[in-house]
Formats: sequence, C-alpha cells, structure tokens
Amino acid sequence: MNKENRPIPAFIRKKCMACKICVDDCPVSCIGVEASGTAKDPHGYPFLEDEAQCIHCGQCAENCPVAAIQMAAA
Amino acid sequence: MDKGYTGKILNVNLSTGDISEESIPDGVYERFLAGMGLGAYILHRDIPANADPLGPENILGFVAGILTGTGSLFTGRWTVVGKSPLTGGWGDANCGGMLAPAIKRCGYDGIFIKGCSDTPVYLEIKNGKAAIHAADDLWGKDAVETEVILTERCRKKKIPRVACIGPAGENRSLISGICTDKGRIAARSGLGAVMGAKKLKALVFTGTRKITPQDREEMHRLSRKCNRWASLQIPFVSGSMMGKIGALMRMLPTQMAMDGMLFKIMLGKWGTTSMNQMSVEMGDSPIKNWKGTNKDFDANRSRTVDPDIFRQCEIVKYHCYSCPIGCGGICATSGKFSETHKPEYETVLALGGLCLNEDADSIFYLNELLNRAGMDSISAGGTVAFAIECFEKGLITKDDTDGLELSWGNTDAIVALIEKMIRRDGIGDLLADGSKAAARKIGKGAQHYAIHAGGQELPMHDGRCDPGYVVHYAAEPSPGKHTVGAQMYYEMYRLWKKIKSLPKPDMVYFKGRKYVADEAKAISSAACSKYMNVLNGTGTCIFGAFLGADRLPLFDWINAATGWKKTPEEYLAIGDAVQTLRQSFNIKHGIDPRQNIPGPRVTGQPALSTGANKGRSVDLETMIRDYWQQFGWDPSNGHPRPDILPLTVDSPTDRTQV
Ligand code: SF4
Ligand code: SF4
Ligand code: SF4
Repeated sequence: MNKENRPIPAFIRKKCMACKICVDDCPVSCIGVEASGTAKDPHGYPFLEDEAQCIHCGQCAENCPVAAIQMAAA
Repeated sequence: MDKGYTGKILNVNLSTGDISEESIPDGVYERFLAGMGLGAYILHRDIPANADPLGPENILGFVAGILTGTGSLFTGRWTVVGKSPLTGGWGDANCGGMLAPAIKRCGYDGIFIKGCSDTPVYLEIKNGKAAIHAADDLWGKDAVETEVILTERCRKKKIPRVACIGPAGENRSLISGICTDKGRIAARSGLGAVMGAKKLKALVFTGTRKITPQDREEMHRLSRKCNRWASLQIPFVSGSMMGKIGALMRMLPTQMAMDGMLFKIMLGKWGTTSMNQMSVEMGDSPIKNWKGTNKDFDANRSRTVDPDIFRQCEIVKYHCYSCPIGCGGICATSGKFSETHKPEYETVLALGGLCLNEDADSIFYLNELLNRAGMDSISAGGTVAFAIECFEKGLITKDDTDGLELSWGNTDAIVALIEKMIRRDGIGDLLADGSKAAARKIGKGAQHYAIHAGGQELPMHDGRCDPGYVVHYAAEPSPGKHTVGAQMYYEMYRLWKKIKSLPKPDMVYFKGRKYVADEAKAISSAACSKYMNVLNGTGTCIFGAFLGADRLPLFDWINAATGWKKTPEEYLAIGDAVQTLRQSFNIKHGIDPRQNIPGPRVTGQPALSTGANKGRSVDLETMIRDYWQQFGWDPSNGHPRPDILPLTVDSPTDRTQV
C-alpha cells in the first residue's frame, strides 16, 4: 500500500481515559499500551506501536468514546 | 448485528467433536439480557438434572455482556458459567482484561462447551468458525506461559485473546478458576476444575468482527457524561491514614451512608488495596479464620499491607477493557517472579490477616503463584486459615502436614502449604478442594472451622460489620460471593435515584440500625441482587456501579445499544427473572438453598467479646426469609413458587454445523 499522505491516528493525551477501547478495535493490533507510567500520571496510554501495519481504517478514532484520537496525515 | 449483541452462540461438544452455531431469538435477550442471563438460560435448558459437574454433561459457558464493545464504559467483564463442582449448584465467576470483546468479535455472545475430551485440547474460535486442536504440549504449563505460547501461535494480524487454566484446574482442584491477560482470573465457583475435567486447556479468540450498537453517537454522549464522574480524581490522604480513618469509623457510634465517589477516588489512587488496613480497623475484614479481631492484626502488624507499599511498586496502572478508572496495576516484585498484577484487597487479607501473616513479600509471591496456577486466592487463604486452626486444635498434626508447623502467621509454612495445594502434594491434596471437603475427610468436628457458604470459602468482608454481606453469602443462587450486595453497596448503587419506589437510606444513622431486620433492608438486598444480574448481563464492572445509578447511565446505555425503550423498573424486573432462573437451576439440581447458610461463627453466635465487632450478631434467619420473599420464593426454603418459574424449556432452535 502506498502509505504516503494516508491518515494515521494521533492520540490526544489530555482527553484519553486509557480505556483500551481503541487497542481492541484496531483490526491489526498496531496500537500498543505504554508499559510504564510516571509518578504524576501512572496510567498506560495507547500509542501507535507499529505504524507500518496501520491500514488507516480510522476505526480507532471512530470508536473512541471521548474523541481522543484524530486521524491526521503521517 | 446492530443491537450490541450478536444473536448467536457456539455449542461445542468435546466428546464428539461436534461444533454448531445456534441463533438465539431476540426475546431471550429481552427476558434475560446476554452475559450471565444468557448463560443461565442455556445452562438451565441444557444441563440434565443429575449431571456430574466434572462429567461430560456439564456445560461450561463463556459469555460476554450485551454492552461489551458498544462504546459504553466499564463493560469489559466476561463471565464463565457452569454447574459448580464446589457448591453443586449454579456457578459463575467474572473477570476483566481484554477477553470480553474478543468473544463478540468472533461472532458470538457465548461459547458453550459440553462433553469431555480424552486428551488435552484447546479451542480456537474465529469469525463464525472454531477448531479443536491438541494441547499435549501445553498441559502442565502455567497460565502465563500458556497464554504467551498461544498468543504467538494463533496470531494473524490482530492479537488473539486467551482464557486458560493452570495446573490447579488441570488437577481439578475444586477451588480453581480460569485465567486471562497474564493473571486476571475468574476465580470463584471452582469452574477451573470443570475446564480441567473437560481436558480443555484454553480457548483462543481470534475474531475481527465489528461490534455495532444501534446508536453509537448516543453511546458516546452517555460515556462522555459518565467519564466526567469517573475521571474526577482529587488529591487524597496517604496510605497510612486509611487505617486511621478505619479506626475512627470503628469508634463512632454512627455511620454515614457511603457515596461511591469516595470509593472511586480510593480505587483510582490505590486500587482495592486502599481498603487493606481500613477494613481491618473497622471490623470489615475477618481475622484469624473469623475468630480473631482487629486487635490480633493491629496497625503495627498490618503496616506491611499499607496501601502505599503496593502503590510504590506499581510500574503502571492496569485498565480492563473500556475502563476509565484502571484500579489494577502491574507491580515489580523481587524473588522468583519479576512482575505481578497488583494483589487485590481480597488476596492480601485472605493470605494476610485471615492467617495472621504479616509478610507482604510472601503475599506478592503467592499472588503471582496462584494466578499462574489458576487457583482462587480467597478460597486458598480461607482453606489455609482452616488448616491452621485444625492444627491449633490438634485435629491434624505434623504427621499429617508433611512436617509443616502450621501455626498462625508462619509465613514459610503458609507458602509451602499453598505450593503443595497447587501440586496436590501430600496434605495439599487434602486441601486442594477447599475447606468443606477437607473438613469432611478430617472429621473430628473439623467442619466447625471451615468458614464457607455451600462449600465456597467466604470473602474478606465480615457480616458482623455489615450484615448485608452475609445475606448475600447465604441466600444467593451462587453462595459465598461478595460481589453482589451489602448494605454499603446499596448506598453506593443509588438505585433510588432512578427507581422512585426503592428506599433512600438515611445520610447518617446509628450503627445498631444495621442489625435490625426490616422490610426496607429486604427490599434493598433484593434490589442489589437484581441490579447485579443486570450488570452481569451487560458485562459491567461492579466498581462502575459504585459510582451510582445516576452517574453510570447503565439503563440508557442498554437502550441506546439495543434500540429498546425499557424503563429502569423493567430492567430490574429482568434482573429479578434472572435471579429466579438461577435459583430454579439450583432446585433442578437438587440443591436445598438452606444448605448454603454459613456456620454460626460468621453471624456472631456467640458474639465476639472484644474488637470492632464486639457484641454484634446478625439475625440471619429473619433476613434471609425476608430476602427470599422479595423474589416471590418460599421464605422457609428458598424455592421459587411454581407459577413464577421462568419458562426456559424452549427447545434449541436453528442449529447449524460450522
Ligand atoms: S479509546 Fe480513546 S480514550 Fe480509550 S484509550 Fe483509546 S484513545 Fe484513549
Ligand atoms: S487507523 Fe485502523 S489500523 Fe490504524 S491504528 Fe486505527 S484502527 Fe488500527
Ligand atoms: S474498575 Fe478495576 S476491575 Fe473494574 S473494569 Fe476497571 S480496572 Fe477492571
């Protein structure tokens, strides 16, 4: 697939609940969860772990209940 | 699928290798929801009356809730159901992690497994398909090892999700459960033994289907509103203060109705370990096999389970699927295992105060060991406490314990004993089926020290402190569980905000009021049970429910996901029907509901002469009668009246081989 200019998810940390709905939704499991937190914010947040696998389907953004994912150009 | 549920289940027969798909009429969901309700419907219909729980006729069901995957929050709990080998009646256990949506992504609301394989197998379920594979290479491996191997073996693109048993389930320990996500466990009711008896090592879910609610926009609107409450986290006291707050609560003659927002803030900071010392101090946590008091495990001895100790070794918080709180955590540990899921309050106190064990390192180790073995930490701790008391009373000696000095707080002996229970080695074999079964074998009056309801060891909440707990331990279709109701739970559920006919508790009341058996308490207890059946039908976590019904839009979510237009009252009526269905299952299987009533120590007969629960006893008989009456059951014996038995004998419809 020509990946140029195809949108990938951008995670908006401030809005994110770390609920992993997007992690489950991604059909190719390219969204990972941070393995450690910080003292101030100890939650494990989602991130695009394997960009090469992303099929740009937008499911993660569509299903995030709090609109913490934006599909944006890579 | 645009109603949140798939409308299909998968039936698997491990004796014959038959696998078939069954369509479930919409009416079944409208009567019982999905999740546990659907499970109760299928099991009541399909398990014959005299089925041996460990034989081929028993059915083990893995079910997901109607709200799972629909954009709702807190709805990632899956439930396993079956005839319990531990209690002989209805069995269910639920668990979080990432498994629940994976069931639905395979195209099913539930997987129902009957028959027994001759050799170890695992079941791989894909989009509308399933296959049985040999698992000889996995048999004997622990739950974490099994999950790692199967995740790698079955992965295409999407990461598969795995439910499996460890050695305890393989050894058919009647206190074993089913694990997922490297140490989360559906631990209660002994259903791991059912899986072991079926020689079913694991289920692997590799589905990729979409889960579609009727109105996703409305789902998200409701979730955003709910998240405003769920994400509210204010700075809170230190861990060591929690014990002091518990002590203060003990001393006051009055009590305030609990607002679950406070509990949510505690959960957000520490998880369930927030309760550790507080519960001991206020008399909520049973000590020394239920015969001790907070004085036996005072602040100096319990300092090793200060919630801050658990928080300090937390590398990252752990969220189940769709949960905005994340009460779990991954902890770094020293010793044999480098990591473990943060031990839960139940685990800490069952292996701690109940056995007077002060050694926190041993609790971390045993937590990981039990999770990997797939053994219930509540029942394991309860059984060890029972064994220690038998040893103390001279009913068993060093000759019986393979030389272990089973004294209170002897950490090395407690650790060695649990390792033996997992392996069914020596005395461990005697104890691996829980305290009731062990007491029967020991004889000599040992049953007086086995603290259980219907065979299931009691959790770490003392009915002498909150009598609501013991009503549910004794009178629920699945006895001995703390995750249904209590007087404090009723206060936190805030159901009266949605259902005007339900009683509103007083803001402040004298503690003595808790022990008066009156109609309002019976109505509240029954409402807890009905509500829990709705929560379990939707896959919702009890901690979400603690936010309060006015802050967790459960009923609105169900309507938005399914397109139904039911009222909160109608949902509670569904919960009522599921309760009767589960109790009918018990009656069908020859359970006398009164056999689940725990022994007199638990209700304070005689009352303790010292400590937080000094002088307290519970009029359990009256409370149970009143509670059963609320469902239209015979108050004298808990049998549903014949005219209210839900019609569940419909014959299976529409099965196709897959
Ligand atoms: S679904 Fe949204 S809120 Fe949940 S983890 Fe993903 S980005 Fe965060
Ligand atoms: S756009 Fe699709 S493939 Fe890419 S991360 Fe989101 S869900 Fe996964
Ligand atoms: S509150 Fe805790 S147990 Fe409940 S869903 Fe969230 S992480 Fe899981």
